[in-house]
Amino acid sequence: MKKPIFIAILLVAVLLCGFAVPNDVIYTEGKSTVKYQEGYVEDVFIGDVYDSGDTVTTGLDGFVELDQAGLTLKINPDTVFTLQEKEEKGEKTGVFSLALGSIKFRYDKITGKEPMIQTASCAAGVRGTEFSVYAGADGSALIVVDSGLVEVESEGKSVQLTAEEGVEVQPGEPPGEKFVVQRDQIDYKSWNDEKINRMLSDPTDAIQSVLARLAFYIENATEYWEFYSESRDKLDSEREKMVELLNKEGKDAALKYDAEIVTPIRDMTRASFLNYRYYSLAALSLRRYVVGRMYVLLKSQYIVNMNSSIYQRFIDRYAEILNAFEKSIVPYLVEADI
Amino acid sequence: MKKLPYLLLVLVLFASCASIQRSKDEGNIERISELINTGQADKLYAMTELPFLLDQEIVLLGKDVQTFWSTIVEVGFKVEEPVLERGVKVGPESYKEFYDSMEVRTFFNKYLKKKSRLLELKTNTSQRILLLVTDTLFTRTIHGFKGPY
Repeated sequence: MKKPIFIAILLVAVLLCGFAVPNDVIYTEGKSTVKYQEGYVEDVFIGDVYDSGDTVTTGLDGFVELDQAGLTLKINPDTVFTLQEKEEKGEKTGVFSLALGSIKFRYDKITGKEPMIQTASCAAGVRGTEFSVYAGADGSALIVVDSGLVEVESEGKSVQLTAEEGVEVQPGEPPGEKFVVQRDQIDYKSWNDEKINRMLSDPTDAIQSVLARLAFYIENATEYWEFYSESRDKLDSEREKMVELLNKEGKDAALKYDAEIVTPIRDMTRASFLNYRYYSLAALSLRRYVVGRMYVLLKSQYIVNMNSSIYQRFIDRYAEILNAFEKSIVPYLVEADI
Repeated sequence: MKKLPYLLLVLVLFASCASIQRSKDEGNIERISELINTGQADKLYAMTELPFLLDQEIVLLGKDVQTFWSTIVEVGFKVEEPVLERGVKVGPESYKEFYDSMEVRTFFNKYLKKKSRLLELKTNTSQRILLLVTDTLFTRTIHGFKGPY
């Protein structure tokens, strides 16, 4: 079963090439790496161009500035950031996925087709020109707007932020209350340390929230995989009919059939592929950077006392996450994702 | 009959290679245990290659590896009187000793070197630890840690 999935992913990945907006590295300092969609890792250099599926990781002293046609992204130290794409309302949308750390976004102009910003706990729609997004070790997010408007959505509820407003979102919960915040007032390290301390004081609660978020990704990945699977079968069968038509009635009839029947199915197949990959990779990011970091923190903290009830309760929930991930997300991943 | 001395020589060479390898494996577990026991987290971090495998978790960030080594020494974790139980070259099925999953299998296939070794050590409290280590003439690299179990 896995091989056909892999081949299908490769085939459609080839079809998808060239749609993404390139992101040029215009400045970098310290140690930062990029993991390309194909799976290999290299250091970040000025002049590199990154596309959908690539992940930039900045080290403790790393900083990267990307330029994407009128948008500047300042990726701060200790950040994991992925360029992704998904299909929404019939259109391909870019997604900036922030797994950990913080990024400042600055738009020269707003066109209405700005990429969505995704963290482990929320999505933000961009209407503003300058804002920062922070992703904490426990999966929570903090969005702070310097100017313009940003809409933050989580668990079906949304909140609009204007200049000098911020909001925090916990994984599996709707956005919290808005608050007033001055430009560049947030210290990511202190904010993240507070998240880590809270997580360590009640690790079971923290991992339970992540489990809820993972369930959301699994539901969507599964749903889009089923759409994709059905569409692909239908596409194969319609293509065969088109070839028959070509042989029987000639090129014009086949082209007409292609435009009217095959192309819409191909678009649907491509869209569902994009979305099941998007949700699978979002789940992988959650597993790797949020759940993984929780595990490292808890395991090291309790390594001399692994029978502790706090640790055991955490491990029970962790095992649930691992099982759900392996059963429902791993079949949609390829080795290059790891 | 004339071939017998050559055969014996090959056997002696083979045995001495195995014994050299064993002493290298023992040297590795002793050094790593010593660094843990003496709280030298920075040296452990410097020896660790990313990605690092902690049990079934593929750790991609240097900060997390730093946190792991520094916290285990801070909380007083020790590897007392380590004895090498087993040292084997990593093979196609070795990943199962860490965790049987597609992610861990991929980690072994993709990130370990041809010369990487799986070392199993036992402490004086009968706890076991697995280490993934690669050493060359001048360097020793840690790729993974599992346990104690």
